[in-house]
Amino acid sequence: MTKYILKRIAWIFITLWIVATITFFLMKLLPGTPYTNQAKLSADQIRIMNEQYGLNKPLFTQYWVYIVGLLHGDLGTSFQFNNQPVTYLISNRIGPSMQIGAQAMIIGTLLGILLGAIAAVKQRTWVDSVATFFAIVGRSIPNFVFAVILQFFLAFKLKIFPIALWDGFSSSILPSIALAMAPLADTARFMRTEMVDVLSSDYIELARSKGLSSWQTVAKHALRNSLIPVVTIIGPMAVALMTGSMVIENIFSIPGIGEQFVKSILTNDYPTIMGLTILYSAALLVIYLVVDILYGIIDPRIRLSTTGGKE
Amino acid sequence: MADNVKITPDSFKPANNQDNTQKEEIQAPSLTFFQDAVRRLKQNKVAVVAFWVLAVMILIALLAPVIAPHNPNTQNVNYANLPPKIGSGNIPGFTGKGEVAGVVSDRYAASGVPKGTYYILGTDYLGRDLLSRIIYGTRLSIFVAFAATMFDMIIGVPYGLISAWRGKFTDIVMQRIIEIISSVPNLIVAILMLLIFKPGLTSIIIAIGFTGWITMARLIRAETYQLQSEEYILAAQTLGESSLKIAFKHLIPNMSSVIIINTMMTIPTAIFFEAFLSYIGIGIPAPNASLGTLLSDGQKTFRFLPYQMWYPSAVIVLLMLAFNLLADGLRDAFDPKSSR
Amino acid sequence: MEKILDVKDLEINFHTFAGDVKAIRDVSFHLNKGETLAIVGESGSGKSVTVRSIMGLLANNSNVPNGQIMFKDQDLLKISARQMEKIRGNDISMIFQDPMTSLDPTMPIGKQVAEPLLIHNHMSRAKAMERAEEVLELVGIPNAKNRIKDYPHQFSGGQRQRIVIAIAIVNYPEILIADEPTTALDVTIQSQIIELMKELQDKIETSIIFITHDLGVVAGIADRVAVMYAGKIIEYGSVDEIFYDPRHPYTWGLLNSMPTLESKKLYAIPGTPPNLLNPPKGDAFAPRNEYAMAIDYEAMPPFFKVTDTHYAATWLLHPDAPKVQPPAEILRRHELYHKYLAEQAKGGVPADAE
Repeated sequence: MTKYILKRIAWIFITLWIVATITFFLMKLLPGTPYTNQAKLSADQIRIMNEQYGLNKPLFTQYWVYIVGLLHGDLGTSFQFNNQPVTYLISNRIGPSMQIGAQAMIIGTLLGILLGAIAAVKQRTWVDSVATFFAIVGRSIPNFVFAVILQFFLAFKLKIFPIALWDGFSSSILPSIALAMAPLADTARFMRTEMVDVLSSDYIELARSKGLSSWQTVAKHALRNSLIPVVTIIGPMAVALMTGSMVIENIFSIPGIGEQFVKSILTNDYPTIMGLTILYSAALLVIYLVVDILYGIIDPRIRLSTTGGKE
Repeated sequence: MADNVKITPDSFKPANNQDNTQKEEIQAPSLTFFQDAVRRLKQNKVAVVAFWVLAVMILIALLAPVIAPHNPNTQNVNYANLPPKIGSGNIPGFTGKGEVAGVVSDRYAASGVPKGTYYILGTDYLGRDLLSRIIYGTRLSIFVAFAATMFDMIIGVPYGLISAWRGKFTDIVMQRIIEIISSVPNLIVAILMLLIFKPGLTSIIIAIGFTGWITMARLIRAETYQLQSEEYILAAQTLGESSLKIAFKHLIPNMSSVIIINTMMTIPTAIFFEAFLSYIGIGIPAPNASLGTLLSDGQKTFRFLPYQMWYPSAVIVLLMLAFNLLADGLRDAFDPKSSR
Repeated sequence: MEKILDVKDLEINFHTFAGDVKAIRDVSFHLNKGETLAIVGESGSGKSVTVRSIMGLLANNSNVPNGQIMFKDQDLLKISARQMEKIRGNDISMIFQDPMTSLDPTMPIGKQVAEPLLIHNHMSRAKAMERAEEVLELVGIPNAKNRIKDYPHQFSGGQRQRIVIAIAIVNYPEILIADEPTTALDVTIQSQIIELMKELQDKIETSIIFITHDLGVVAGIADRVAVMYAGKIIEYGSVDEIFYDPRHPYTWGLLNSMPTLESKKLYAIPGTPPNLLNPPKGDAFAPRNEYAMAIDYEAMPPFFKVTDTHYAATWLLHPDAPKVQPPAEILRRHELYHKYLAEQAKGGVPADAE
């Protein structure tokens, strides 16, 4: 087990190195310079700036400097945003993103599991049809459309929530709901499929034959067995939350890293784009690892092997 | 039962039952797998409705140049932000009247629009006809989605096949590559690719296609591994058929339902990706309309001119909903065991 | 003998997209206290459906237009779901076919065995676990004490079936329903499980309904046998009567297709069972029956009495019907049987008829 985890952690570092390398060279291929969006600069000024950012050095030296910096936790200096270090930018902005992401994940999984379980237990009834339809509608509304609609009705018209202002918990509710929509729909759908499968299994019939009522059967046997595979969608869900945050934070003017990422893209701020890409990737790899370990813990049938990876 | 039967000596004559051939006949007409799936799909009313909605939307998209009432890119700043109006404005909601500074007035008259000219869904901030832009935007979204999905099928299917068929070292390397790509959220991969390419239709298709194939490759790989141990594949191998021939003659036909279902599931995702990228401003370049740019434009003026957001939103939701419902129907039809 | 369970005129339909499948068509039988009744038939003959209706575990798309299942002066088809839950796993319990899929993979086996005790007897958790351990020991799980915290995947197929049996008997049910409990097991394990069930029957004094398609298994365990075909019972009698003096051509076919030491070629009943969406008008077996007569296509045969315990539903037993010659194998069995009866009448030690 320890050996397996160590191996996985080593692989995470290798993956991050590859991701960093690829993004580094991709950024070098980019058309346009970091200065295109700024006021016209003289050739002299550009030369000075190139020196300042080390852009006049040979490509491999730049790469080496970047990787060494990375190992020391240094992601370079932003071209925009007053030349702040990228790590500083990120650490300043990661709080709101994490809060909204975590809230969205909790709302999404809990309601999704509930909805999916109800649909499965009541399968082929109107309850199931309503729940399934709701899940499909949830998947069919782009999160940025949903966010704008929520903002319009709940914040602008009804004034229940602040429109767009980062000021404590109340301002995090609408973005969290907007962000939770897609994970909720996906969890519900996945949960329903798993649970329908489990409910038709032999051990559920055996549980019923013991004299358990249908709700006891669901609570003691079906729920647990269908929840185990649901753990695996935490990975894709994290992806959805990360990308979703880019537009949601924009719409609600939340000073988070998603909003930062979009800004960086629109202003060719390579160091920030690279830093955030690596950060997203690192977070995702850690989540994948945690999910795999969690899966091994909650499913007695799986013993993490030391030989191979997942799949 | 037996009481009301008249028993005669004839009743006990042996029935000629020696011919055994007819006993082995199968009574119901046999259906091929596809016929059976289509039959099941037709029974699914929701999927049928979704199919026809899509058919109409695709038809409108194809006939956009004929159907669109105005040129989607013609600007007329004098006619900017006109509210929806049909005919002479007698239909509620399409009166051509709008509120400016708290006073409701006929915006068409105020902008000096000649009588008889009207914009069914109004105009945007540059005076372009919203309906025409939505029609062209839908056309573009559908095109991008289909092209990107085809693209991801073209990479994903062979990738999965080769990975599983070659196995061993090839498989390990190919799976490691997949793991590395999927360690970055796929929209970010698409964004990075879009940053390098020249902005435009092809770049978007490639970027979306490139991020979509991983699911397909994984499914095909798993499926190939499963099929590989089937007797008929072993038989074909023993008979010396080439791998390519086995792939086309046996593997792909047997995986067709997986391919169809996954493709159908990918299309709404691709529509969403395109809208997302255009929405954040790195997708389809101006002045061309895509549902994403329309939504982004609409959102800016949502509070004052909500119709500019509502109509594109409704169209994209309807489009994705129809694709999702049809995909679900197809999955039920082709894979009856999985049931939704 | 005291009847513990009495099934009368049972009819069960399943609603499908294609129409109503008439899975059980007018089935009546009873179970005596302490005996083992085997219900024999091929797949789709309705034997599993019949016992599931006794357990109240029919699928949602089923309906029971007619019939009674009397247990302890109550009709199991009429009582509420709650009352049925009190009977299930307590008075009547069931052993399932596939031990590989019948146990909850995520729950330790001790807990699974203790569960019926906790539901029905309001026992403390510790006491229930103690009982579970005893019962696991009883069904032959070695070292049960140390294994109650293990999960199903840590046991072999035969051991898992023992655990399934432990779950079924933990409350000493009055009726134990075994739905093909040996089908999924290796032959050597099969006989162990049969032996175990016989032992347990003596120990806990239960009555057993044993469902199987394997006549060889029936001979080893049953007191009485009912043969089902296309949703109907077509012949029933004591195990000796069915094995050595069968009267229905379908039973002949079944026995004939059992390999014996002498058989050179394995016999197969031609054709396939009828589609129960539209059951045939007369005897459902007629199209596959080489002894079929005109009337078999006209009317369903009633039960004709052979002995007080032996009945068969075939027009061949009608007084006006011509005498037919059963297959050779059946004649051979007949002969053995008469020899055996004669010896028994003389008071001699009954020879093993097999």
